[in-house]
Amino acid sequence: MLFWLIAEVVKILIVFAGLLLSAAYLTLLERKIAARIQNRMGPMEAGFHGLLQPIADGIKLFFKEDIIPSEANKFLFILAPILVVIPALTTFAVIPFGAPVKIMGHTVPLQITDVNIGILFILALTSLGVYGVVLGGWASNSKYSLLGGIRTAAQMVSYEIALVLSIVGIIMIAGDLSLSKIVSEQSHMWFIVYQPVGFLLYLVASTAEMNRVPFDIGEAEGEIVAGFHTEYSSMEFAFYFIGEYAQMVVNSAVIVTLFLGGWQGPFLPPVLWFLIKVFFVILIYLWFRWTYPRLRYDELMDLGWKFLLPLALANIIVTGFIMVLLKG
Amino acid sequence: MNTEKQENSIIEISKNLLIGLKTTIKTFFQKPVTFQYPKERLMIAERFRAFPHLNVNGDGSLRCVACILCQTVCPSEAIMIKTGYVDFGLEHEITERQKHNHSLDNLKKGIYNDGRRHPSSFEIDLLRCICCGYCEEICPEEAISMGTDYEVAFYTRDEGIYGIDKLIKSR
Repeated sequence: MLFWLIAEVVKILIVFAGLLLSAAYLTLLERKIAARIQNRMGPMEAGFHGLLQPIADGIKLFFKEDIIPSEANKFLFILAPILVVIPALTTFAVIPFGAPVKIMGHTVPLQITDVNIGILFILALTSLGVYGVVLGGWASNSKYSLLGGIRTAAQMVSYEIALVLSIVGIIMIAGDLSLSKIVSEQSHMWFIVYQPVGFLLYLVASTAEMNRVPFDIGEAEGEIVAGFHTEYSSMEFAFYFIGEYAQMVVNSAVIVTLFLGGWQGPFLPPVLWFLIKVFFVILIYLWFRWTYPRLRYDELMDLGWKFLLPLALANIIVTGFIMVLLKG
Repeated sequence: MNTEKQENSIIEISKNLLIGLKTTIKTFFQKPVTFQYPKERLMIAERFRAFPHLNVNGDGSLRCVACILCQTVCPSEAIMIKTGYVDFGLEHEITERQKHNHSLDNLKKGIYNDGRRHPSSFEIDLLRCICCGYCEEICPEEAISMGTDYEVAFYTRDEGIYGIDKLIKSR
């Protein structure tokens, strides 16, 4: 019992610290990749090739003046960024990041908890992220924030459906909602082979879910200053930032778990395989961001409702047919 | 002009999306075109022309003879010359008039005496200077020439007025 408790606490600490650190260093990776795509160099001053830049940014944000606009709802204004970060960090709790290891005769699964409805847990928590954005936009008492919040809410609600439906195919093939079961089902073949359409749908819908650039109408800097975080400064702004990048790590981890075989792979240790795959999915996200321009609001809604949703439904029907045909 | 809206098929759109991805991955592996400015510098062209500076003889004495040609030709009136002493040589006996107006007081010891007139003050206002190079062209003594130092910054406007010492030192 004591061993179990210690193991859990150590796992939680490692995952939490790793997630925060990777979120911080993702900012550097993003800036570097953006720079390379635009034939620049990116941050070069802080540390070797800018390796200390995230720490410098963190210190700067920590010591900045914390401005709360007058007439703003103080409680909600401070609560909103926290509401973005906590679901993003909590989602990682159900993702298996390595094969079970044996320590002192005990088998420790490398997963904080193996919830038997893991996918539902992830979907529920990622959709909580919308509250942080909407509340932040409303509590700021600023027209730009309010517009950004409303736009983001509409966008997130529309893409949520396509996101959920794109996973249904996986659940049908695996026959289980638990993520560790889904990973072990993929020991022979990754699910991306059976569900290529589902993979693309999830990739696009999760990009929209995170408000990343082709779908960032919520913070469109050319139109509404910075959208929902226009009035935020100092650590509250940093929380939004951490939340965004933590969401990116988590979404990549979910994609790896559902479509790319989780931690499974030959030769290398499972945890390393997991990290490599997550890194590559993150690279895809970054590549998308620095390639495509922002969609207009109506284009975004068209894409969500008229293209992704029917495609996701068709994907489910085709998957069902093929499964029935193969079995019968 | 064809005003009909172009109908894009899904195949066309996805082809264009892939072309976009191809373009960015191509630029990703190219060499950056920027450089780290204070550490690395661009090679300036051979005939690059920045602000003027004053030339000196081998022994460190000014070549300028205070003929005021450069001040006359300067289109932006950046040059201000005050004609100073006439250098007659060490053996010269100071006349009563020279004693009276102290015109030889500026003569430092050990300076090569060439029996020429020299400026007592030579000022170029770098904030007015347009780097046209007329002063260099017109100078009969090759005393003023255009340098290559383009990184000139001041805290006040007065610092932009360079005297003889600064003009000799600047590149």
